[in-house]
Amino acid sequence: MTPPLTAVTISGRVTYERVPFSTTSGRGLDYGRTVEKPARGIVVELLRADQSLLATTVTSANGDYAFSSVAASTNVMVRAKAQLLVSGPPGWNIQIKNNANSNALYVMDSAVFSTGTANVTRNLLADSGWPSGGSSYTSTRVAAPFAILDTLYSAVQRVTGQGDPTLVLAPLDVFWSTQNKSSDLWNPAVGDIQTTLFRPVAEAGFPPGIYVLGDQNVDTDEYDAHVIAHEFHHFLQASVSRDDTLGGSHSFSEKLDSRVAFSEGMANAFSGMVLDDPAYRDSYGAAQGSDFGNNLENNPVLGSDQTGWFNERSVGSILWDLYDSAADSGDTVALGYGPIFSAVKSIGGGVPVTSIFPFIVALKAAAPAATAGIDTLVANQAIVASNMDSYASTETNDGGLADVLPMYTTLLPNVPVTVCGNTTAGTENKIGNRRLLRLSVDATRSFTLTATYTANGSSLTTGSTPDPDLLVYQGGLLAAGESGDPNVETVVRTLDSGDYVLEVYEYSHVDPATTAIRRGRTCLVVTASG
Amino acid sequence: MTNGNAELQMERAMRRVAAGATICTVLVALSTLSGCGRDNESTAPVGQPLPLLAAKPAATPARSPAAIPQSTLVKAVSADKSAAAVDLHFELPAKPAVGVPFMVELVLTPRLAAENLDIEIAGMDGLTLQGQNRFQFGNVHAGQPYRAKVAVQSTVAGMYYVSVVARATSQATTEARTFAVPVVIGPVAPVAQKPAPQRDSRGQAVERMEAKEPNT
Repeated sequence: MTPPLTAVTISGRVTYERVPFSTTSGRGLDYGRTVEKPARGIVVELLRADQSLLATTVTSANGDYAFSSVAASTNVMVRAKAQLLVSGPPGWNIQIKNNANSNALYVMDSAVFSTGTANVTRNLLADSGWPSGGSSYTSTRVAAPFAILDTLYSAVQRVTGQGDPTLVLAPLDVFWSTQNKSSDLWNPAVGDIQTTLFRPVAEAGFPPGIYVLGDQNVDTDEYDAHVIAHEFHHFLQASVSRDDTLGGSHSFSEKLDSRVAFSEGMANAFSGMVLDDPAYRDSYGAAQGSDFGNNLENNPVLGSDQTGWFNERSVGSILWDLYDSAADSGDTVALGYGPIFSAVKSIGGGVPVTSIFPFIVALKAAAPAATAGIDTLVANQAIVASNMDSYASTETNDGGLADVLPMYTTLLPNVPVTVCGNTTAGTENKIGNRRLLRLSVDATRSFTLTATYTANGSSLTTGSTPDPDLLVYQGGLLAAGESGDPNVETVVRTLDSGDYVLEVYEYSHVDPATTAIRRGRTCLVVTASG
Repeated sequence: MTNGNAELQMERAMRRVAAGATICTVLVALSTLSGCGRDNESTAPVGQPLPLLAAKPAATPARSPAAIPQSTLVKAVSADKSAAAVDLHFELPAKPAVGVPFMVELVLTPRLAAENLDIEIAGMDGLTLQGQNRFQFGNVHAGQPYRAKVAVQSTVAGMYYVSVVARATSQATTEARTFAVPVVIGPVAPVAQKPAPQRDSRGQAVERMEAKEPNT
């Protein structure tokens, strides 16, 4: 007879239920096909019955964990934390928290059990809360935070596996709650998060991070893996590079500011790369039974006025085709993720704003042998590929609209130039709303930068008093003149020698308020005096 | 390298908010239970497109940080997920009262033309919808407001949300956007302080959930 052990091993597997999409596009999540998946790379703790900590480990890629040398005949419990943690390099620390409950970390506990005198197996399953054959959630949605976490595990594996094996990511908090809804308010303590989004900085006392919708029968995103991976890329780009995106509402078909189009198109493509699935899908509606999306493999049609550097679908399709190995029409390139990550990282150190232009320039430098193939893909989306530079000086596609090109107007010290903006493509973050200028400074000195309204070229439509704004960038925002002063905006700043980007706009063109009164075409005289 | 200076970004965000109107709808609804943009109200029948809103001359809105309501919590530079190019604001013609049906008027403004704009409206536990909750508009024009009215009722005072799903279809492509419209009915009691979440042995707040333990 085997003598009783004085120390035992407690082991098991942590899994969660993932609800997949219907095999039919547009029909949302299919709870009938729910599958059990391993909770990969998550922190697992062994606790005493009073919840004091005995030991910590991390699950394997199969969800397995083990604690050895545990005292026999002791009452304990196993806790699976919604946390990915590796000190690295490569390293990461990603936690899923409840913004509607004091940002508490989600944890899943076993029952308390005695370790006994023989080795113990304890398997933990995070249940979706949707009963088999049911028509709604009937119990706690335990699986949700673990589903989000597992998508992020895939993203981290892609980035560190093929991008940078020494990367140590900044800590990332992801906030999910069943109360998270698409209210226009921003008060995460009660679930008002606007939409699923990434915030790079704290906002009104709420911490930065990814906020995820969880409002059942309206919009939940915990199983929308592409949406989660998309938002992760916004975090990644802001963390390891720079993202000059303007944020704001955007759709697949709008003509977006180059910064927004790149940020969103890149994030869409990244989601496909992480999941090796080009079909971006976002579920919504009653019983999460609807979805919409975009297949990155379906390239926007060349010649349509929605094709170009300003369209997130165009950007996404280029990036996906650069990555994938499927040789569809015009796609002879299969770079994988490594060069794409390098190029994303590279553009963070440049002066031009982050857009498809510096990205492609950086990518060609990183993969010179693929230049011809890259150019073909870029040209297929109506972007001038050959001789492209980071300032888009050779670009000719203006989306059929005025006041779009050149993307950068050259501004010489003490030589006024006039640029105009409009709202033809929409407001806030669309092409034509904001104009960029490039200023080269040869020696350090103080500059007075002004943007002054001029009636010359401006339309005569009524609207609010002109309210110019002026921003200064050099590898990130340096100074912002965003006063409400009518007719003129001024920034005084000492500028060292080097290149700068100025951004000017009429405020009513970018005001996110849907009820704002917009001015018509508005022209500004920009001067750098110094 | 990060995206500029965090303090500068926050300051920019606050200035933007002072312009205020994006959240005007919600704030006004919460504080006075009237709606924003009532000067734009139209008598066009439900289900029909409204005429274009007339722009009116106005002074430049004040944008000093001092004008920011402290409870106003805002849109800053956030990277949102893709959604249909449709914006929403709403109006409450009458002050909602407990046990009395009242109208919520939704004004949806597509940012792009579309072949169809479908609207689906839902209540929530404690908030009942009455009458039509689906609306369809064809040959939708960008920038033109489309109105849908829905009657709602609750027998218990409180803050509720009317859910709106907007689907825009164009060239066989559908995109959707969801909205949660806050509605305050009757006198709302102060929210009871939630119990603080439990803390683990390291002092971290945790929300405990129960595992299923198959094959154990």
